[in-house]
Amino acid sequence: MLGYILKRLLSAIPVLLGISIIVFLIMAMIPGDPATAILGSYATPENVEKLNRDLGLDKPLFKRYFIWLGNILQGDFGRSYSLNKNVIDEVIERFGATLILAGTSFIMCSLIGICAGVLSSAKQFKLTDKLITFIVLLGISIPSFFLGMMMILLFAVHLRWFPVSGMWPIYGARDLTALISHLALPASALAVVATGVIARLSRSAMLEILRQDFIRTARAKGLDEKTVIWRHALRAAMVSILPILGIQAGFVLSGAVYIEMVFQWPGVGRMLVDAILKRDILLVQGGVVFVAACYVIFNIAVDVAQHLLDPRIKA
Amino acid sequence: MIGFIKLLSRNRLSLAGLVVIILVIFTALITPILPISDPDVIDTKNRFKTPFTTDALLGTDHLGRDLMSRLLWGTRLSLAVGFCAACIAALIGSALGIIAGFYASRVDNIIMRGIDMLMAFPYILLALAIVAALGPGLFNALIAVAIVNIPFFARNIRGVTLGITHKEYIDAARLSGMTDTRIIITEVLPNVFPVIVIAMSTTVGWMILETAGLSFLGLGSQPPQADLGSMLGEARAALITSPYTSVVPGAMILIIVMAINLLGDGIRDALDPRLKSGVLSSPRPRTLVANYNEAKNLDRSELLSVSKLRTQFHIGKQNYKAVDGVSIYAKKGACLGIIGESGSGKSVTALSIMGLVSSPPGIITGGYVNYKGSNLIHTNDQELQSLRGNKISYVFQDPLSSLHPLYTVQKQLEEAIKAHQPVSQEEVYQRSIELLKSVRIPNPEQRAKDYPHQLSGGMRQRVNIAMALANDPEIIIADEPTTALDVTVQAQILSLFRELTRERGLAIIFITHDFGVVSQICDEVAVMYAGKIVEYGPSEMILNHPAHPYTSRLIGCVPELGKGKRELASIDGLPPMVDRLGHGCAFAPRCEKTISECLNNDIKLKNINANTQVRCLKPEIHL
Amino acid sequence: MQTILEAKNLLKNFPLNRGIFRRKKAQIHAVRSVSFKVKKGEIFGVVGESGCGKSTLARMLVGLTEPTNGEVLLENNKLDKSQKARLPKVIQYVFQDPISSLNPRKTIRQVMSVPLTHLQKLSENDQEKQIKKLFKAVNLQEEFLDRYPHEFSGGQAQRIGIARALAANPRILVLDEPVSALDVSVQAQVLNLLSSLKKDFGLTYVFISHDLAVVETVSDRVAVMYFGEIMEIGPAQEIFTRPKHPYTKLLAESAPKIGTTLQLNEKSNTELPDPIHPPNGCAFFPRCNNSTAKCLEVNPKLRMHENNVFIACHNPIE
Repeated sequence: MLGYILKRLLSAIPVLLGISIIVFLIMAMIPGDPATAILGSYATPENVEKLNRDLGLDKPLFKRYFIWLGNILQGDFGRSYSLNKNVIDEVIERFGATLILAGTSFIMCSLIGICAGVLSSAKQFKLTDKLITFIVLLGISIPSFFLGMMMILLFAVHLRWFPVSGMWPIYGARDLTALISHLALPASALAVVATGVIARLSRSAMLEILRQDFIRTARAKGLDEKTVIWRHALRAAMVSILPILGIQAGFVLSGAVYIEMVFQWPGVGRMLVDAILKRDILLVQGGVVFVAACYVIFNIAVDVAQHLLDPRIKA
Repeated sequence: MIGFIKLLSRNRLSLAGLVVIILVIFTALITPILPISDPDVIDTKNRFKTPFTTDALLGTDHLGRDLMSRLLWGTRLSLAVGFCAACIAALIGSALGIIAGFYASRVDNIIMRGIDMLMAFPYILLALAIVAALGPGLFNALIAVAIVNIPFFARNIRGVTLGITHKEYIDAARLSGMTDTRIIITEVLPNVFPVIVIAMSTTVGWMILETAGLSFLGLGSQPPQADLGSMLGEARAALITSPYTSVVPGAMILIIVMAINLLGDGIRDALDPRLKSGVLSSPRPRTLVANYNEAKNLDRSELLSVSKLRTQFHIGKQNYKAVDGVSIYAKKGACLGIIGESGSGKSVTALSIMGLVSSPPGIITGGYVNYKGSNLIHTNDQELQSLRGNKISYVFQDPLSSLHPLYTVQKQLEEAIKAHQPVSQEEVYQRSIELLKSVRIPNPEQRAKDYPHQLSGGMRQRVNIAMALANDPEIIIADEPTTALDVTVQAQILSLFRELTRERGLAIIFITHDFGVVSQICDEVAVMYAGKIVEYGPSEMILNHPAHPYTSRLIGCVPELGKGKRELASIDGLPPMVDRLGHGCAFAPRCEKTISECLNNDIKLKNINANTQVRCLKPEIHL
Repeated sequence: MQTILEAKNLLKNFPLNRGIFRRKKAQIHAVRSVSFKVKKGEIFGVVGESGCGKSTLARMLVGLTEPTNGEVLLENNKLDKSQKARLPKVIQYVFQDPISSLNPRKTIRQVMSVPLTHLQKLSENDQEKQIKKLFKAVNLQEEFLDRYPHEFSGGQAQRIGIARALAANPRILVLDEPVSALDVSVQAQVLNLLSSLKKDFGLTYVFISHDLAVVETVSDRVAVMYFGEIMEIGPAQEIFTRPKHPYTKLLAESAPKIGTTLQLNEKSNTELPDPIHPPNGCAFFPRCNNSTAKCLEVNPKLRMHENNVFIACHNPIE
């Protein structure tokens, strides 16, 4: 097992390198002079030249990449000019907030999605199935940012159950209850789409499994239907549901960008959008590389879970 | 095409989706000629007019622009961008997928590594990075969304192509002298195309959402031009004071995407051949039973008897009479064989006994199964469940797929025991080891820890048999248990079955298509043809002196070892389809002795001697 | 008689994907050095149980799989690159699963015209005539030509598969389990059809099957394969009535026959050898009742025994 984890971690290295190359190349495509972009059009030529030297822009592309990579590996993602702050400090701080939002949302959508999918498949063609299928379809068709806005209108403005936006109250204690009440709306809005997708795919994975021979064997053994569905079938279906969860985690992380904008959540997504609009390239670059790397690590965890679940995959 | 629309229209919701999307596209197309005001004309005096006022049906936004007009133009833009992105992603992704899947090995490796790299990003990060580099703008957002979706198509299409490339018709095309390019165009592409269409129809909605999302963030369409996303984005500031400015574009996105998704589902269902035949439905825990009068006052002394059993498959308008009035009796310490060709109803008979025929489409429409005085067809679910795997157990054809792939042998055996007996963990372990020993698996303690895929075919079938024996059954129903095995292994499994009848006094119902197997282990045999028993009696008698022309000629077709090279006898024609059986004997069209009476009336199963019954007007007489 | 097809030391290993960090790649030894000659006009049977490499062998004979080592000789000629393209004109293949060997989205006419266009280069008119002639030969109605594969039963589809193979006008047909997916009554029809086609078209068959009885009814000579190697090869009647190799004997005795009682001829519960790590000695050793210490160490070579029978065994049955 340990060997497998180690192997998986090693195989992540080329992926991480690939990510860094892709991000670097995309950023190198930026038209015009980045120094001017960073300093604005009022910059003096001396300042531009100095910054170009600082950024190493006078060197050839591949050399610049290795310098950049070397810096990243030492934790130096550069300095954000718009915030006048080290990129890495800002990214880590913001990523924490995103993690709380996306993590909560991911747990919600996994649990609800799988349960809905299993229920729907076990009651195929019955009212429960049709109802779930329709709700799911509605869920995957609604833009999460629109849903978020409507939730603010209803639950925050009209019903006043939850605060309108932000992560913490402006005045008052920053305790868990405060966090939960601020988290409830954005996390739910974020979870809806992924829940729908997970429910859908879990349903079809379950349907695929339910017509397998070993389900017939389980029934022929005289097991009760609950055991057949929730243990035999779900366990086997998890083999195809787990990778879906891995992909959906990426979607939740992506959706978080919109939700953070709508709910003024101080996460990394909002930071990125602001940075793009302000053309703070180093901040964008650092944020993207950092989050993508975290996502790669998360996917390794999914693979390891898959490995634990399915004895047929050999190390 | 007409067939496709017919299939699509079966699903009402999809049809509704189609209608809505056609309406939306039509409106978007005629927007330029509609008598509406310019969407970008600013009129700050008339800002935030509520809907349904004169001159502004849907009101105006924060700059006093007509929302109706902006909505229509925005819809036009969003649709165009979404479709474009979908087409670009589908085209590039599918091309990469087909090339990777078809050429496999190194090409595949290079392409898929690249795709994996793109997949390693949460999609929006990549989109944001691309927009950051190219600068905000609708066209750049389109490119970003297309690129981000390429991996989805590439992976899907690669998988499908890989599957097709391993199909025998690709080999056949190669042997017919086709070049690779030609094979891709004429053999692979037509078979991949439906998958591409399905993938597109299920992702167009997504892409519209994603481009709208980028516009919402201010990274897509730039003012004054607006698509639905940027309308929402601009309206956000006035969400609380003038919510309708948000609701209008938001609802439009919802309607479009919902309609596309509904339509996409319909297209997927219509194009998936498996759905047509109803294969994708999951079987219920128990076969459906039609309403008919159930038998009362059953004989308590019988071990197991099946009487006039009728099981049908209702698929679409067709009604397949798989089992049509079959009666059989299982006796203690004896093995009853049911033999027939594929489609004769032998397996369905066996599965009907404990309600294991897949429903839908299977349904039991007549007859009863008498087990010690209770009718298994009409008994309640709890009782049936308490008998399944307990007093009556099954062994199935494919030993690997019949075992749960993710549970160890031990776990599956213990589960079988615990389902019917309240025993301690220690005891249940001991019992499962004993069971493995009883089916002569060497090293039972070791093997118990194995997963099914780690065992050989013969060992797997032994595990299945051990599981069937878990609760000391009285009857084992074995559905072609040796068909998937090699002859040398088959001999071992057959001898195990024979032991079970001789030493444990079990009753075995053994389904097979092999007369040699019948000869080796069956005491009695029922020969089935087109859902009916045509001959039933002691197996030695029937094998040596078959009375029904079908039995006798079928035995004649069997190549037998030791007779050297020769012509085989054969039966002309094909077995009939059981959905359009006429009157009379089903074998009559292939029979050489047919007389007009054979075709007119149903023929009864009649005794020709004390033990043997035959369904024939002109049975072969052996003296 | 003249040799039309020869396999010379054919060997095939399939690499197992075992990650990037392992230096030595594991391989599945599917076919381990097989040699035989097929004479013109004969039916050469190959029999063996699942996993013995018989299908891989068949695919190598028609050029669908590239051998790791060894070569296929047609009429004593080695095949170089330029001749490989010619191969389908001489040797054709009939598949085990008749339905899946037909493209589901093509009509039978389209399927049939492919070899006529690409191999025979016939004009459309001639194609039409040829298709009609072939359909008549395999006893199929012409109205089937415009239907799609899923509308056919297994037996009909297999006839179409045979007709397609014949359309290339080959001299040799490799038949890979051509009847194992069919019911007994239909199986007999197809086998009889094959034997009449052989006469009409002057063909040579390599007939591969797991079913001894089927192989015996059609073949002149038979090779028995086990674990990627030929165990015994010789005239069909000789092989099955007086098997010399213990494995052939086991096979012959295990096949259930009408009117025989069940007997067990093997120490039960023997495991098959591992195709990734083939044994040094005889692969059949663990299951053999005749084995000696030599069998464990030295893999017996195929050698002439008697009456044109070749066997690979140190202790043949007398």
